[in-house]
Amino acid sequence: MKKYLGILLAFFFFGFVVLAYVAVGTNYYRHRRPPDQPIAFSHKIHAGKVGLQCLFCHETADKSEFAGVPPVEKCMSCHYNVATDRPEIQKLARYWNRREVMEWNRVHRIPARKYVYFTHERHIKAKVDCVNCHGEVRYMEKIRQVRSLQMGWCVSCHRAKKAPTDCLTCHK
Amino acid sequence: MDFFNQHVLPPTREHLELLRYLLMLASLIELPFLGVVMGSASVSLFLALRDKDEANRTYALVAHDLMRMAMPSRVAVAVFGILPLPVIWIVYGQWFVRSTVNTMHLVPAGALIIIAGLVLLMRYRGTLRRDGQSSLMSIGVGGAGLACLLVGTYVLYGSVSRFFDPERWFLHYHAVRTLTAWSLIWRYLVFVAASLAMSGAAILFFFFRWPRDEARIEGAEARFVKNLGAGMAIAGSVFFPVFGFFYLVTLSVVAVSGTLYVLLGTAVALFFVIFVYAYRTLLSHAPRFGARVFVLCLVVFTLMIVGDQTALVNATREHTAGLALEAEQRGAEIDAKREAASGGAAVANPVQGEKVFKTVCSTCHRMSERLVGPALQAVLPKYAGNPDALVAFVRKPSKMNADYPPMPVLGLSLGDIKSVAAYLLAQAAPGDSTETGP
Repeated sequence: MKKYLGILLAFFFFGFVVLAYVAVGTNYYRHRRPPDQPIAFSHKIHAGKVGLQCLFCHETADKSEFAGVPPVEKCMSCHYNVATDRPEIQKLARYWNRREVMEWNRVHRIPARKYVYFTHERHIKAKVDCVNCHGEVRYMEKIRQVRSLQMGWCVSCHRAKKAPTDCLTCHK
Repeated sequence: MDFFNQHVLPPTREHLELLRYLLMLASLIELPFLGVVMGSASVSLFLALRDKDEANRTYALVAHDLMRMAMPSRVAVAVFGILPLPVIWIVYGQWFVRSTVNTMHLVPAGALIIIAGLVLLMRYRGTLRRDGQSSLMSIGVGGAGLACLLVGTYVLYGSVSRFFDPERWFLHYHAVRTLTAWSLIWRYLVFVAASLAMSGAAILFFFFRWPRDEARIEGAEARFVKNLGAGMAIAGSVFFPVFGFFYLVTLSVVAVSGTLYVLLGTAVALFFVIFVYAYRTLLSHAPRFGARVFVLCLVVFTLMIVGDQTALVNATREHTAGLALEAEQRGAEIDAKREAASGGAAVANPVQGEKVFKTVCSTCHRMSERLVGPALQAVLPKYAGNPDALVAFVRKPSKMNADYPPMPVLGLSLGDIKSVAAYLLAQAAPGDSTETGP
């Protein structure tokens, strides 16, 4: 009896731990994994190989709160001619021909954004390199968030660069 | 890191892949060995101390035999414990070259402390006798050796801890802050729990099953050793899943992937099997399942090492892509130099040039109309009579006109670029002459 009691307890213990792993894993898979996009757009090709500047597509980053995602029109200004034989470009052309909006899935979102005021414009004017917050995008096939964007991380950079750390700087 | 940046070339993708297998192999030799030495030394020291209080013959005997088992000979210690350390350093150095994180000096520091620990424990092992009490001096030496091993492996683990968290790479941390991160502590505790189980498994295996199924000891001592081994295996397998959970939770999101969950989940499932075997060994009168538990523990160690490396690969994906690119560029530079040195190879051939133009350049350029790039008629005149400038531009394009996106590097050979330049300048020239002619 003693023999089975120990094994039974262990079964419950290990079962509980495995469930905890599954829970954490599911949470990661649902909410924290890099999302799939409507077309397999590669930053590695555009920002890396072709060498497009970030602001070439994300036009409003230096003039507004949001960096902005380029409209299909922007893509088509080159892809009207370039690489038209590739399936992903043909997918893009279909969006263009049907005058459909491409619904990109958002990758970067500030946690607890209700309480934080963040603007791209201010950071670009302060000459913060896009890489500091978005990572080496030019090497990413599929874009992913490589910074936590948590307050502690923001503050550590503000301190390192001698930017204001007053609460009102970000919490309006 | 400056030392590495000056002396190490960035590895190509294939080279790095190979190095990672080497790292896995070196870790698979080093870490289980250190784990068993750490587990056995702590129990041996504890028993030697108890023996001083109670003068118990079983304790003295087991304390002696445990150290003989964990460190069978000087050669074994050198091969399993010391030889893989420089390999680990070299691979890490190659992997993290060009990174701004300044923690690679922790690898040799950790390695030296580990070697010191192994030497001290060898001295402790030499002073132990099967049938007599050990002196307080020798226990002190052993304690210092064990402390060195614990600190050394912790520093070795800490040397790469910041690479799991790329968001803080650009911040300059003191080594103390690097070595007190929660994610490092949990990662190290996972190793400690696996080591505890591994030591227990090694005791069950080497005391009773190896070599040739002969038991090293019999009677009451055998029962004591059997219970000791099974107890350690049970403790390790209970702690591992808990520490593993906190390891997963504190790891940066960038390092996590589905594979890592599967690897650690499998390890937990295997630990359940190890637990059941160890528990049944504890209850039975004879030592059983030694070989099975030992092999399972080795598998779990492998899963842990592979998982750790998977996390590191995930976290440093962009870094390694950058390295591969730099290596590629270096290769291309060398090829270009070779081509230039061989002279005759890169001859301009307008027929070949036309072919290249039609397959590559015409995607973005036409002679007389604007496409993605400018109309060539408008830009070619400035290169008239100077094909070398055009070749130089095509090899390494720079932004000329703000109205157009930048031209990419096309990866053409020097011969092809020269041919295209010759073809284009020949195309542009007659056009000019007809316009300006009578």
